[in-house]
Amino acid sequence: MSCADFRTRPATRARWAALLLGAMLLTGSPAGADGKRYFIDESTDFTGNGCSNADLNDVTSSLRTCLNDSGWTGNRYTNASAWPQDFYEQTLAGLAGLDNLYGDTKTLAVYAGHGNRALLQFGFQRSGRCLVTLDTQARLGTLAGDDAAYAMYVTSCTINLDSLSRHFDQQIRQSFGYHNSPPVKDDQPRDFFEETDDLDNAHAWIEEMEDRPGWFTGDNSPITLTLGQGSSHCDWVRNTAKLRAGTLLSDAPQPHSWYCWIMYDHGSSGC
Amino acid sequence: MIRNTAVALSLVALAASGLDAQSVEPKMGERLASFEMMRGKRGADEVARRAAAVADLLEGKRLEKPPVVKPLRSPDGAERRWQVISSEDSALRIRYIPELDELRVLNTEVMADTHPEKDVGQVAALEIAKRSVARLAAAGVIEERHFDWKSAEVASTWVGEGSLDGRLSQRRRTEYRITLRRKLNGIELANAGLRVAVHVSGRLAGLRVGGVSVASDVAGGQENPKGRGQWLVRKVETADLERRFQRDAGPAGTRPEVAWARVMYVMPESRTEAVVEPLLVFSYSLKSKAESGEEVVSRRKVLGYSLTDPTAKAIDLVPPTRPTREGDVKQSSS
Repeated sequence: MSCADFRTRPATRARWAALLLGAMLLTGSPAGADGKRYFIDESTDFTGNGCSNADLNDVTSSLRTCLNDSGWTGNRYTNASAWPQDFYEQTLAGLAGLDNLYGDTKTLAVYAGHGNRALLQFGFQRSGRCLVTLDTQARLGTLAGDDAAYAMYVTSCTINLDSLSRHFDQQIRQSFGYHNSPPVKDDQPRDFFEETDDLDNAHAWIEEMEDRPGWFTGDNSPITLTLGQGSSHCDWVRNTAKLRAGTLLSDAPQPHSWYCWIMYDHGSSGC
Repeated sequence: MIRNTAVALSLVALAASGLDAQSVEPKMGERLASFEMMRGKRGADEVARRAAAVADLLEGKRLEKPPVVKPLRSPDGAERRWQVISSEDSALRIRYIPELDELRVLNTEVMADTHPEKDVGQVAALEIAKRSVARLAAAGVIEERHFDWKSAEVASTWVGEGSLDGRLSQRRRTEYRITLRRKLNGIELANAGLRVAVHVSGRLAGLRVGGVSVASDVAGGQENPKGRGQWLVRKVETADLERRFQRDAGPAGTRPEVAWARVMYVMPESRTEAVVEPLLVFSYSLKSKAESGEEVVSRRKVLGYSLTDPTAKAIDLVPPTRPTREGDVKQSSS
């Protein structure tokens, strides 16, 4: 973990470094050998599979290629192989959750499909389920699995401001999503990842996602939610974490007590 | 039936407010023009010249040396973006996207100021943006006549924070994000324009400018098509297109919620060159009930309808660029 950029509040640097070191010792090893691991579920086929909605374009295959080309490893599951159970917390009763095998086993967890506030809709029904309600059914970065540090939701409304508190039970560093219903072009998640070579995740997400590329219609309200152990720490994580640069790929220190977010606000249409 | 009622209500609401006021809507029998449009990248020297003008504007001082332009290599070896370095110690992060002919600039120092001491307000921010655009025009980066400040859209950058126990919570605006789209005889073009980010302190935090170019000349107070563009006549009523939209919007069991609808030029995403006529464009998402009864919202869709050809099919303006690439196969026994 590089702290080279943690220079805006020197008085707190030593305190946070000690806290982070302590937290890392408490939470065990970093997310992976170098943390460069991903898990992707994507639904594009919503026709005739028990979870009806409009079919979608593929927005994660180029992201996966880019992750692989950048030395990351992981899996990408689509349609019939993308299950709501992948994000269900394994230790919560009655869900038959598999996050210990899938959604919570890699540094970066991605879902692309449809959604709503704190909600994901998958395209294929499995065991009678199409949805993941994040606040009641998912616990990324904690309990079983325990390896996710970042979550990307390429879905409508999942991080709508009115539902922010419904993300607080995830013990991760950052969540990337939308406050409204966005049009997303095929390579935008890839372009976001590429920009995190030298731009922090929070700004890279909102910059890349504000418009569909080549449009000036300002259709999207992208938002990055960061969790931290206090105001300064939250700011620091928001300004420091860079996925492609490999900055802050370790597990989030637990427990967090603070949240901070940044958003380009073009309205909450659709939500 | 339920679906159609819902759609009708949605469209009634739309009609009550009128189509978005940003664009002129030609009436039946009136003329409207199609224009030849192109996406084309600029040479490195031209990118450097434009970037220098933008850097002057955002840093408030003239550059001592011309900026350096170099392609950025992506992990797959492609060179999709160019980096422009205005000076060694600059806080500006400048990117050029050749495929879109678009310059994107961030002032990383200004945008990092998330605890501003003052807010100049929206009126002052608009004035700052206007002065900035005038300077860009004077530097030859844009043509001021392409833009109409009456149609400027103002969005915001917000930051917020709080304690998870709910005892502390606050949010503050840090930027006004002012968007202007290129206009052709009063009708907006979706794919060319500019966005000025004015920090609440009054400093410029960022700029995005570029898009497709249009083959036209100006005479008689209007923009006339050149090349393959031509004058056409509107032959289709808005009401007919709204009815067609009701049928086309989405699968059974879904109802559209329209974010905006307006007459607009939209360059097809898959083309680098096209003759484009204005369409009635609907940008919308679909709402539906999941099997468990919870409401689900689709990602945004955009459909366009011809104003001149009653038989033309609806155009998906945000089509996939490739078929879905299937992922790994998961063992069902897991």
